[in-house]
Amino acid sequence: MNILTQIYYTGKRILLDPKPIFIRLLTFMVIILILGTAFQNTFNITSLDKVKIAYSNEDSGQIGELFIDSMVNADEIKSLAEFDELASLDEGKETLNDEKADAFIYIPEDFSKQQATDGKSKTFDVYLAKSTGVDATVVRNVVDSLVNGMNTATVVGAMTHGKQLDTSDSDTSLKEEPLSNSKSATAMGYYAIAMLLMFLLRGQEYGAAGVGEDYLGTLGDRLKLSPIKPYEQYLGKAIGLALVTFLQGMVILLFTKYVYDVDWGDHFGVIVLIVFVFSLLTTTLGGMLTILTKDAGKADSITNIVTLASTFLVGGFVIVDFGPAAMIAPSYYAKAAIFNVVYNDKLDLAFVNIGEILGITLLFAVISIVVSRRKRA
Amino acid sequence: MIIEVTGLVKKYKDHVAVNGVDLQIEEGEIFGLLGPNGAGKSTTMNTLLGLLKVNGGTVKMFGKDFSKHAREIKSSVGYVPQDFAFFETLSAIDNVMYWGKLYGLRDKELEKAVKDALEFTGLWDRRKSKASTFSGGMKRRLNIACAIVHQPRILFMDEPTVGVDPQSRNNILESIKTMNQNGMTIIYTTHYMEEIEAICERVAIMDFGKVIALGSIDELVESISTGNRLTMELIANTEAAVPVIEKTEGVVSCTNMDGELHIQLGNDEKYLMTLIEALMQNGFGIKTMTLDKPNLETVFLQLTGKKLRD
Repeated sequence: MNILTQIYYTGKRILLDPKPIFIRLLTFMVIILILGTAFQNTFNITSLDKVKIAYSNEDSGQIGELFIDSMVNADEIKSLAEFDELASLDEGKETLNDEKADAFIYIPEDFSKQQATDGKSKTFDVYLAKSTGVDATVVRNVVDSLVNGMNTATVVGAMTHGKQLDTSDSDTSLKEEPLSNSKSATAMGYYAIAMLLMFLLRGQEYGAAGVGEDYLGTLGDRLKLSPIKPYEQYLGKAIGLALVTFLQGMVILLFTKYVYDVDWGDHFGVIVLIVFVFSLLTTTLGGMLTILTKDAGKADSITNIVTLASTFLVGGFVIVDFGPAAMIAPSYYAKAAIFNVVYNDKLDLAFVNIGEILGITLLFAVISIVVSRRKRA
Repeated sequence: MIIEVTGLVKKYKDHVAVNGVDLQIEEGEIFGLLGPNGAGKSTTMNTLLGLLKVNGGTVKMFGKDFSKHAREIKSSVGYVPQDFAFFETLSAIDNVMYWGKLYGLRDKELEKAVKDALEFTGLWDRRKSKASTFSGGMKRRLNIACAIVHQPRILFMDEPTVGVDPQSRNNILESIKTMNQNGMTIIYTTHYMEEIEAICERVAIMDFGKVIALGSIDELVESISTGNRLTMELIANTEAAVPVIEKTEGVVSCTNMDGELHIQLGNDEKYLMTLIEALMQNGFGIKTMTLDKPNLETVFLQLTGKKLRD
């Protein structure tokens, strides 16, 4: 019962002073908006202009024409590229040099004969503009796809003993496959997660101040003289403070979900659970720092360093991969859990991360209780 | 005896803050611990309460060893620390309710206890106001309300009037007397002699961690008194008056300090009249005259050679 009393009054007295909470929340909302907007282009490629591909077909046989027809008339390719027929190789090179096209495909005169004579792969030339990038990649993919399609068509043609090739079906050999099942992060989504974790790390401050009040000051003396048991005092305080952080975290979560339209995945309940357990972790960490340093002011300074360093290590400011070193950051496990829910849809891994967070929390709590008991009179 | 302390010792490295204190306090007393800052009063109180580890000695409350029956004893003890020990952002009623709940009070019993505590301290009308909006005197009273909500048998008060205006101080002292009349034993530390004289029946005077005098105020004054102290200013010829005064019957000593005569008289009240007559006969006119009756300040001065507030 004393635990509930501790939880209730710990929460009430912080929440009854809403101004600092409001300012803090507003600050983080604005930071998410700024970062999410500023880095939008880094995360999202929303549209590509069509790639300009010039071509010249000097093939004396049918296959070159067949290739060009299948390329120019394929609906999927039309959506990516626009074509311009040129008369010669020289004209094509000149067009590229003048940057009037992104690529130039040249089919030589003996293109059809190449197979007829030696049965080897047919060769045509693809020239790319100097300014390579996404456009060049599109050209390569278009050509690769066409070559694959042509190979299939040629083989089918050979097997059907010279029947006319049905180019209209050539698209069917091209199958789109996503790189993975993962969703990709938007800037707003990424920084909503990063700043939510940074905000929750600030829960250490509540832990440091709250535990300092209970264990170091005059109020702590009066508490020691009350019949409350040490574990009731600690747990009530820690859970009460964690709930305060959690509730504020929920405001960020809901605000970003409904106002910034951030995708928090299909398992929102698990995200809420992650926010709660991580709030517990940050609170117990702050409290432990106060108990170890015997100085709430010193502990508060350390929490600021932990918040900034941890956010940096998990790529909260700029996307950097620190490898295993990032695991020392308290927010590493919460970030992994959220990413597993939102982007990878791997709930089993997310629950492993939640278990890790709870394990670390338990460790902090045990250290705090043991050390504080030693320091008691 | 409700409290028995034997050979209490508290050390901080090489510094002995409490040095072999023995105390016996009876139920229903207002017992004062008087001494200058740093004398060891608060440390003694904190060791009695188990807030500090002791290096030696025993503390018994209600006849039980505090170290072995701490939980049981704590529920019958209240503590008013020198600093405020409540939540500034909570209302007065929430603060008192919080402490009441921690002491196991529930429902109607809790409501009644909270109301009693707030009414007793005169805060009932402001019960819904946040503590942060209270004046210094009101905060002191809230500090007391939080300590008495569970109706403790013993109340420890560590300099509870520090920084309050005279009116609030008088209110607090009157409250203490009332609580005592209702059966509560009060242990009260202060360096204000006037407060001890106003409310305490017995007093222990401390200096350098030791109890240097213990008893009722009258007993202590009687034990060390060597007479009355007289401070006098003459209209003129002050230095010439010194030999005349020294020769007068009943005068123990006389010193001229910057034109102010400090005279130590014998216990008999007739010596004052004799001195005045002698001065008049020799033509010395008296400008001002103050007679200081011996008090705890005098006792402390006699025992230590320094003033309480040095």
